[in-house]
Amino acid sequence: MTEILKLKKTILEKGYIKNFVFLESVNSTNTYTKENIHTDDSLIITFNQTAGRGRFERVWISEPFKNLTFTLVKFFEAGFKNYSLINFYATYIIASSLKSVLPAGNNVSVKWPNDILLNNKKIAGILLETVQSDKKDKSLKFIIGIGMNLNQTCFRENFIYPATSVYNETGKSIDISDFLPVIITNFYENIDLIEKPDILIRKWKSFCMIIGKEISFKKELNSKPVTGRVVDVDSDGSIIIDVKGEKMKYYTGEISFIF
Amino acid sequence: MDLNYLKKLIKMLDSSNLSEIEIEEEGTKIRLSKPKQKIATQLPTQIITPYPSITNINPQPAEIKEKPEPTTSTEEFNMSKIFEVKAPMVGTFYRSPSPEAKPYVDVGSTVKEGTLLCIIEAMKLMNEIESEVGGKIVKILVENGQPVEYNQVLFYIEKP
Repeated sequence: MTEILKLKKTILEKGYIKNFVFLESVNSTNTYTKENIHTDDSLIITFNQTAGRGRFERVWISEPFKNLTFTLVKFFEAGFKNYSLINFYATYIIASSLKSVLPAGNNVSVKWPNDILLNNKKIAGILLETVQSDKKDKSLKFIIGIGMNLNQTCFRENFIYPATSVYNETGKSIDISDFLPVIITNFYENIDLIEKPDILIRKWKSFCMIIGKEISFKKELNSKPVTGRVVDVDSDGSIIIDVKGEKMKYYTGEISFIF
Repeated sequence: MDLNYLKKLIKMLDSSNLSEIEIEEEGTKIRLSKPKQKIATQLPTQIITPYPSITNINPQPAEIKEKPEPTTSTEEFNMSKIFEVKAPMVGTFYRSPSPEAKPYVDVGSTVKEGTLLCIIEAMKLMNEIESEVGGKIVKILVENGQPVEYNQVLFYIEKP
């Protein structure tokens, strides 16, 4: 418990987070946040997330007390245009924060739009959700859920993209009370990037491992995949894929396989 | 595909309030659905298998799908009482939190201000769209999983 108090003190002293919520155990920090947290700049953290989820209620499994699972709440004014870039921003911040604490020689990369890989295995995921926070001023509440495998050693096998943890890749554990303040500071100190799509996407692309690669791409959840070569990721966040000589631009969809 | 498994599914669907079950595993997709008017003895109407298929890949992937056809039925709405819920952004329209889950609302559902109606996904950002008014859903204008344009009408809500 003293560790949590220490973490809370460190985080609040940075001056970015106004509301620090520690939950001993919770189904999902995003679900809890949607229902209970109505304050901008809130951080909700647990070491025991029992029903973590990704998009479409896909399961995010995390062993208790081993990993980083938290949610950040950030409000944006109504009419905020670059909402689609928040995912790229959060992904870039997590990837660069991770890189900054790892020994050289470890390869941190991102897959469009928001998967984070360490040495080509999934290390972190982001679940970004919004709800209208206030009926009157119509500001948007962004709920940024982040799960990162730090010290877990066993993972389910047979995933197309195997999962890993910092410990599995480097043989060293990362202390959450050192690492979380790094992420929070990076998040707030670079937040102007959301207003600068060109620079943001350029920074995101410096971690991107799929440009030039052949991929399978599903436009919709249940659609048949198309195969093509990734040409670029545009400053509006869309992915451009060369499908049989024709350049296609997609705003939604999912990379189902990388050849 | 195990026939007993299929039978179990059919029984499960029959005895439930669900109108549809969709299951995907190991490359096989099964969708069972009941006709809207509940007839207890009727068998499910659709079985799609196998999946994914490598045939039928549209050689020219269409970027923008056709919008749902305008209604040609005899539905009549008193438009002065209808509130149109519009898409606040471009994205993909989802009626339920996951493919297996029940839709948030159906035609006939009563909603309050703040009731969750659907999700619009844009670049993996899941936007929950809540109702701004209370009333009854009388029409859903977009199919689950379809792309929507900014300001496209998604629902008609009849105000009391």
